[in-house]
Amino acid sequence: MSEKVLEVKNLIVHYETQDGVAEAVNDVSFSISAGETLGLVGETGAGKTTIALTIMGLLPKPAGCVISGEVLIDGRNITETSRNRAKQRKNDRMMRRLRGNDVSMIFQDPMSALNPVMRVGDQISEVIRLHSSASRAVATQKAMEMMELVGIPGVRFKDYPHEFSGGMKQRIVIAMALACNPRVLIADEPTTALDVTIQAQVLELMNDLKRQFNTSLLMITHDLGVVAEMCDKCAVIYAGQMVEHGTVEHIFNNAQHPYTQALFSALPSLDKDVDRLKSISGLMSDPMDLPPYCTFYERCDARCHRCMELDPPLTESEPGHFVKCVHFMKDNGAPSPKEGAAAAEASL
Amino acid sequence: MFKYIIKRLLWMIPVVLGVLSIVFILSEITSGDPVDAIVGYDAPIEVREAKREELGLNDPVAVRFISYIVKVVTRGDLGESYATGRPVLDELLARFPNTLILTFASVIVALIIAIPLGLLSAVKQYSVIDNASMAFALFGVSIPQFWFALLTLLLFSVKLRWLPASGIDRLAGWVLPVAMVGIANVGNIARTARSSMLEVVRQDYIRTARAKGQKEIIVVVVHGLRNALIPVIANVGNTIGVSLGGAIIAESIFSISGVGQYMLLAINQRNWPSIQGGIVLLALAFSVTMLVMDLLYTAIDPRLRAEFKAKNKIRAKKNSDGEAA
Amino acid sequence: MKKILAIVFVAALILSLAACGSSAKKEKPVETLTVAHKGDPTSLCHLTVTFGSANGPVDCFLYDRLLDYNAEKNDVEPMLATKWEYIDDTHIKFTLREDVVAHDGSPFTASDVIYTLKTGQDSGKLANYYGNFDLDGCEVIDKYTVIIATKKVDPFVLYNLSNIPLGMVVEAAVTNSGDITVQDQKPDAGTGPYKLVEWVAGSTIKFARNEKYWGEKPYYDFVEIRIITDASSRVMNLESGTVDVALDPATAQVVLLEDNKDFQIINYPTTNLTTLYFNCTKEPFNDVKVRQAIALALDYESNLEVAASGYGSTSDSFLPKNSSAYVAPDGSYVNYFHYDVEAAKAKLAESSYPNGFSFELLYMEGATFQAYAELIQNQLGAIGITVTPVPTASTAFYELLSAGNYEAEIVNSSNPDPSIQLKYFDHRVGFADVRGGTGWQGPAELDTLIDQANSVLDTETRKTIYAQISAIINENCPAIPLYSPTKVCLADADISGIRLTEFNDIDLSKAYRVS
Repeated sequence: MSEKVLEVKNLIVHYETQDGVAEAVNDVSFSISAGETLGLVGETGAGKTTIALTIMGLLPKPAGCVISGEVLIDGRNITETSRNRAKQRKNDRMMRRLRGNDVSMIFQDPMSALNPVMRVGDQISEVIRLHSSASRAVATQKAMEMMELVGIPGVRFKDYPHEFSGGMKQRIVIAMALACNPRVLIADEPTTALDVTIQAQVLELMNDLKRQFNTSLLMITHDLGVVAEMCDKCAVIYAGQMVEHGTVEHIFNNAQHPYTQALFSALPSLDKDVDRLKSISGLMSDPMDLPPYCTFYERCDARCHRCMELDPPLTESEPGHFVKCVHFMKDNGAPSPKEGAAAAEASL
Repeated sequence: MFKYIIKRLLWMIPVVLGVLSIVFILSEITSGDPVDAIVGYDAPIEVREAKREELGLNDPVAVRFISYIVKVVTRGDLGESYATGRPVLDELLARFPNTLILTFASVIVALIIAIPLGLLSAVKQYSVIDNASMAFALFGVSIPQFWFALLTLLLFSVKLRWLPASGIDRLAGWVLPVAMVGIANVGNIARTARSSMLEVVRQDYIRTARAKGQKEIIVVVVHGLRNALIPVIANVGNTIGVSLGGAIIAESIFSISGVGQYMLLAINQRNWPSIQGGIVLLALAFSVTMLVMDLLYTAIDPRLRAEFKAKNKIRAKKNSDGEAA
Repeated sequence: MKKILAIVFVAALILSLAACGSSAKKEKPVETLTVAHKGDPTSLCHLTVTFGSANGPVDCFLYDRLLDYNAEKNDVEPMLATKWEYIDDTHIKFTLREDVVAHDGSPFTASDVIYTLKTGQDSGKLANYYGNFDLDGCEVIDKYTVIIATKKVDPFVLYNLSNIPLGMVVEAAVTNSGDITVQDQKPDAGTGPYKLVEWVAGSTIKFARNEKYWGEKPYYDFVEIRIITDASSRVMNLESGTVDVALDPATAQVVLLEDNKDFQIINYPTTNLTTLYFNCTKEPFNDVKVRQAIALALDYESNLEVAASGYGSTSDSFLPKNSSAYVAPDGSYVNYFHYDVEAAKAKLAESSYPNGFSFELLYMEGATFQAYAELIQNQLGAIGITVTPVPTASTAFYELLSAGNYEAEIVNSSNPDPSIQLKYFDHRVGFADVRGGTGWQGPAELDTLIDQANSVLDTETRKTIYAQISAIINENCPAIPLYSPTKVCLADADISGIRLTEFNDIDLSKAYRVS
């Protein structure tokens, strides 16, 4: 594989609120190489968006803070903070230069992601002018090209967001995100708010552009279908932790973590005829009050006594495939998940 | 758009008529003989009666109302002041510029202070700046204007002697009244700006702007402010409307000859032509202000403009449908 | 940028040098007297309008009278007239100055006197001042001699002629400008020491010295009257140096300046009297003992100190002590206008309301009136009478008075002419005619005495009549004199020549600065 464009190392992010500390991201590490797509899968509240915002340096202040870990973009650490004001200002300036230029983001809801009182063309050219010395005219020209590129006539440059449909707005958001040809593009559930037919179009567009610009993509989604279609690698996030990580093939063909397995069994399948989809019982652990042991324990079908004894580390179960489960820990003598489940049943 | 403005201007006619009829009804039920003010209390009965007859005060209120309207419409004649015998229109026009200056200068001062204050408070919510500026805003709203005006006069004019205590023929004479009325208005506008801005900074498009790598100040001012402005404009419109009615306290303390003082005196003297003329002027000024504010909305928010156009289109369509049928 | 700054600096330097140079040439710098005044006059010509309380201090700059009033002597002095003599009880011959011209240059002659009287009478708005002149009896003897006739004998006609509403106008000037109503805003028919420069309604009135003035040329080149409606604001304008004189200050603020050497407090005794009137047509005030009890229950001296900060004097008559017609009680009758709580209680016990009663006390909104109302409430409470003070806005106040719709009221009357003051006690005059009063039906002899007082020219004879009237009123207490306020105004300490008019207004037309 080529150089790593984005690296996240042992990232821990907390939200410090008046009610307490929410441990939103707990020791997450991953990396993306140039041109590669990583899917970040998990249910709502798992901490996916927090990871994305941390990479963008847009954690809501002052609540969100990076406790430890690093985010490297092209080898530059962006999570560094300094008490020295001048230094911090320098950090901020560097971060601003990266944002929109080296790393940009497509947000979940295209309806609200565009400034309603600004012409769309201006919103696109804004980012171009910010990161290049292009004149207004050149930036406008470039913005129109970008619009054409995402399939919107350039003449609509002067229109306002409310004059576009949802899918078109998302295209504009994409045009805006790609305008400066970023190294990394973060897409936070880019299709969730769109009609199914439009979804496919937008995904296809993203795929095309990604290839065209050789952009690395961090695709955040709760839709495994999107992952299958778009991604090279996949990471499953649960309660701010990465519980399984591997290539798309690893995850789809050999899901090992009980949570991942549960996700797949919750999917409708064309092959099997089931009356009811399986759901995962219970709720995700409260990030304000995470247990010191396996966070999935309460909802796990394969739990056993060992699961409450320790917080299992991420373990490589096969080359390039990592799982965070007691049952896959090496030299621990624990039973495999299936055995564990059997044992649990027996003990009841 | 032109049609809309014309329509709004035409709407002022019923507004003025409505307000006027209320004034006439009030004049009917309020005790007090305006003749006292004209000929004096010690005038003989015959003189008083002759005056009553001359002014048509013996006519029923409806007759007086109609003849007043006819005079206003046909000749632009607002009648003559009972107190001075001079045309009310002249007297009002002599005072209105002062009221206009005071109103607009103080609103501009208020905006210059209030908008940054509101923005800062919203961006740094719950910070020291926020608390301090909201305390300042609260101070502006809750402080008794009369007391505050005297205090500023005492401090800047009497103690420090920096500014004259009266005399608006010089620029320096405007400083205190404008600052006083302005600061009194800061509170309201800053609070509106803050709450509106608080809502806006949570919006996704603000995050989008940040994600572009835009500077925070530009994010707030360019992307945030314009979106947050509509409630602020509504507030400013009201403030202007009210101030046009005369900042009576500032006018009397700082000796500014404005519409407020004129009306106050007229009311005290039961000087009905002056009161009616003043009301007409104020109703018009208020309506025009509101129209300008509405036009400003559409200038600021393209969605409103679109809505407005769509409505017109629908109406046009309906009309053509109606004709077809 | 630097260049611009340099240019501006040099320009400023040159200008300031030029300014120094020009002022050095003149012997006396141009001086302006700036006056803070409570409101716009209703007009700048007194002849066509009701004489409002804001008119007097303005009119005295523009108009001269036949006679001038000397407040210190409480007498009249020559002004436009140099001599006068009574031909009979109703005819007086005046000899006029021959060097007087109006502001437009037209000469002032005998016919202008009659023109003024006729215009004033015809307007119908100045009945108190012009009503008694007999125009048919008036006569021009020659260019500078005129006979003025009155319908009835008027002991106070000379005082009246020195009054500001009797300012003389020159007919030719009025005719040149159009008619008398033009004078309301652009007066040039007066002969006074100052001419109008500009009147910005509600804001300022500017006068310039009348260089053709017949008398001593006034000191100030210009006078600027600023309309400042708020009393505290007027004082602050003075303190800040924005104005030189503040008319009608609030007494509470005057006290604060008593020790300030930069300012002087002008404090002239007046013929004003603030009086508590009972509506004697109503219960319980138709009972004389009730009225007497109330008169005895008030602590006059202390009230004056508390309510008016001592700016005034008490009185024991229906007239103020400063009035020419005032006569002190001589001991031949019981004087009820003094403080004696025990006597008050005893009087009330004798009355038909031994256990007290309650009434509403009407007064016009204002700090001093309110203080008095509250003090009265307090002191009458001590003898078992419950008072409810009712502050009222001026227009509504006079409406209630004119309708006789009140139980008791406090009002300040400024009637230098005692015959007008007497109307309040004359049952032949209605509530509407004097706006209030007592409605009191006195003894029959009172009517005769009032008629005599109004028609006898001889001062000594009149004094004895006033003494009798005073005794009757004092014994019956249909009204109680609370105090006679002094005319107070504030001015820079170095200003002199501030005078009081016959109508108790401040006259600044002869003011000058002592260096």
